[in-house]
Amino acid sequence: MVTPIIFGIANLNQTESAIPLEMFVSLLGIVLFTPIFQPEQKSEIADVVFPKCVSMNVIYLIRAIYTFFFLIAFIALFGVFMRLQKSDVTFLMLIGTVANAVFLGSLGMLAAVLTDNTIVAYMIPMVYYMLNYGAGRKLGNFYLFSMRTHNYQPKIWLLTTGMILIFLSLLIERLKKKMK
Amino acid sequence: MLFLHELKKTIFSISYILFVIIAVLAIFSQGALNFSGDKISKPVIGEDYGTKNEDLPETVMPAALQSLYAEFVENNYTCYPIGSIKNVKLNDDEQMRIAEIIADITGMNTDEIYHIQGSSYDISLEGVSGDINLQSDGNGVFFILGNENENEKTIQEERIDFSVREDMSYTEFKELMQEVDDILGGGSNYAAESLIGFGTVPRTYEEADAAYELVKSSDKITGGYARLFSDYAVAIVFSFFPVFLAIIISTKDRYAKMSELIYTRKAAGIKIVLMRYLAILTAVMLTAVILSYISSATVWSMYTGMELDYFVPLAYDFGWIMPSAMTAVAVGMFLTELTNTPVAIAVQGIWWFIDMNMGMESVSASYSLLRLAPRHNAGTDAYFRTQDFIDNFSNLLANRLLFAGLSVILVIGTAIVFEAKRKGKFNGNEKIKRAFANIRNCQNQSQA
Repeated sequence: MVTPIIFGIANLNQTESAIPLEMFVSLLGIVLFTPIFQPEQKSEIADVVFPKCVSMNVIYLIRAIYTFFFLIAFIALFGVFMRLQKSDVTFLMLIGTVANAVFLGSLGMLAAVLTDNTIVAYMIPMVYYMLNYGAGRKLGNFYLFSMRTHNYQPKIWLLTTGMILIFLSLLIERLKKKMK
Repeated sequence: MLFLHELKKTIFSISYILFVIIAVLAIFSQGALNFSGDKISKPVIGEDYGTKNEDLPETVMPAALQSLYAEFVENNYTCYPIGSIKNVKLNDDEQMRIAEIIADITGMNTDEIYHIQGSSYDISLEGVSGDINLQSDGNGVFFILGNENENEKTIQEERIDFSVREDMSYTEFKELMQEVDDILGGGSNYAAESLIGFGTVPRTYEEADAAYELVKSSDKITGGYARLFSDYAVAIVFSFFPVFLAIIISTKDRYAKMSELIYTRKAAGIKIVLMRYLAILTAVMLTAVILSYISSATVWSMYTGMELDYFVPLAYDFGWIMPSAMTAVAVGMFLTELTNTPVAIAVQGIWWFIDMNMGMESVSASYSLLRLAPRHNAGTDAYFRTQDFIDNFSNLLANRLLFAGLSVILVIGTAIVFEAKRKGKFNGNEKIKRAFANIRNCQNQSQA
C-alpha cells in the first residue's frame, strides 16, 4: 500500500516497473498467507472449532483459495493503476508478481504450521526475501527479482513450488490433528 | 535474578536460535562474515587508484548541464526521493522554466531550447530522424546531433554548441540547479548537495597513499573492516529482526496465561519491563559481538606485524549497532504491550524497509539524523573512506544518541502501559474489540 509513496510508479519502463512489483507488492503474499492458521492457534478457539462437523481442512482450504483470489485481484488492480500512470506493465509481469507473493506466502504458511507460532512464521519468508538482496542470483530458479532482467523462468518454479508448499502445509496441519 | 531468569528464557527459546541463524545467514550472504583475501595494501606508483567525487566547478558544471539537458529533451527526469528510482515528467510550464534555466546557464535563447524538446525536436531539425544524440568535445562543450540518416551537411548546419556561460559563477549555477531540484520535487542529482556526484575525477597516487595511511593510523586497519561489518549487520539484521524476538518474548506470558499472575507480584512494573528489555538486548548483542569478532578475526592473519586494534569491533558493536537494536526491541515491546497484537512487525518492518531503500546516494544521507541504520558501505577498494567517517562522526554520534534516547522513552512507555494494565485501568485493544463485538451483537439481535 505504501509502495506509491516510497517508489514512483509513474512513467516506468518494463525493467523499472519490475522493481516495485517484485520488491514491494510481492510482500503482500507474506501478510495474506501466513496468518491462515492463526485463529485456531489459540487453544480455546481450537477446542470450540475443531469438534464442529465441517472439517477444519476444508475451512483452511477455503481460506487459502480466497486469499489467493484476493491476492490476484489486488495485484491486478495495482497493475491497472500502474498502467494508468503510464508505466509499461505487462500481463506476464503481474503473473510473475503473483508467483513471488504465493511463494513467499507459502513459506510463511509452512513455517506457521511447523512452529504453531505466527510471529515466528513471519520471520522465515522475510529472511528469504532479504537473502535475495545479498545472495541474489545464487538462488537460481528461486531468485525473486528476476523480472528486472526479463527472465520469467524462475516465476514458473516459484509459483509451482509455492502451490506445492501451500498444499503441503494444509496436509501437515491435517496430519497433526490426526495425531492429537 | 530476574534478569538472569529472563536472559535464560530468551536464549533458550526457539525464536532466539532462529534469530541467530538468520543473522549468520544474512551477514554471510553479504560477504561480511569473512574478509580473508580482501587485503588493503600500500598503493604502488602507476596503478589505477579508482575514482572519487570532488566539488570541482569545471567538472561538475558541464556534466550536470549535459545530464539536465538530456533529461529535459526527453522530459523524463530520474529522481531518488527516498532512495528508490522515480521518473518525473513535467508539465509545459515547468518544462518552460527548465528551458529558461538552461538558457540562463548557456546564454542561449529560451524559445530555441524549449522547442528542441520531445516531438518539436524532429520539426526543428528537418531531415534528421531518430533519437537525439549528445556528443561532447571533451572541453566542457557538447552539441546535439540527430542519430540516424543524417549527412555531414545537416550535422554541420544543426549543430548547437552547448556550454556553461563563461561568466557563470559556481554559486549561481548551484542556485539554479537547486531550483531544478525543487521543480522536480527533490531527490534529483541536481540538488546542491548532490551535484558533487557529477565531479568524478581519478584519484591520484598521493591521495590514494594518504587514504591508505589514514586507514593505518586512524582505523588501525581492523576499524575499516569493523565499519563495513556494522554497515551490513545493522542494515539487514539488527535494525529489524530483534523486533520479532521482543514480540515473541513479550507475548509468552499471555500465551501461557501468566499475565494476571505476574501482575500480582511485588516487583515494580519498571523493573519487570526493564529486566526483560535488558535480557533481550543482551541476547541480541551477544550475537552481534560474536559475529563481529568472527568477521574481524578473518583479517588478523593478513596483517601480521602491523599495529591492529583488537577492541574496535566491540566499539562498533556498542556504538553503531546497539542503538538500532535497542530501537527495534523497544518498538517491539512497547507496541505489543500497548495493543496485545504483533503490529510492531508491520511498524518496524515498514520503517526498516523505507530506511533500507533510502540507499546510500550521498554521504550526508547515509549519516543523516533520522537514519535508523546509518550506512558506510566502503570496502578496501575505496580505502574504507575513513575520511568520510571522521568528517561525519559528530552526525553519527547525534544519530545514535537520538535512537538510544528514543528507545529509553519507549521502554518507560512500556512500563507505564504495563502498570496501567496491572491496575486494570487499561487492557490493550480490548475496548476496541468489545466495541466491535457490541456492534455485531446488535446486528444479531436485530436479525433475530
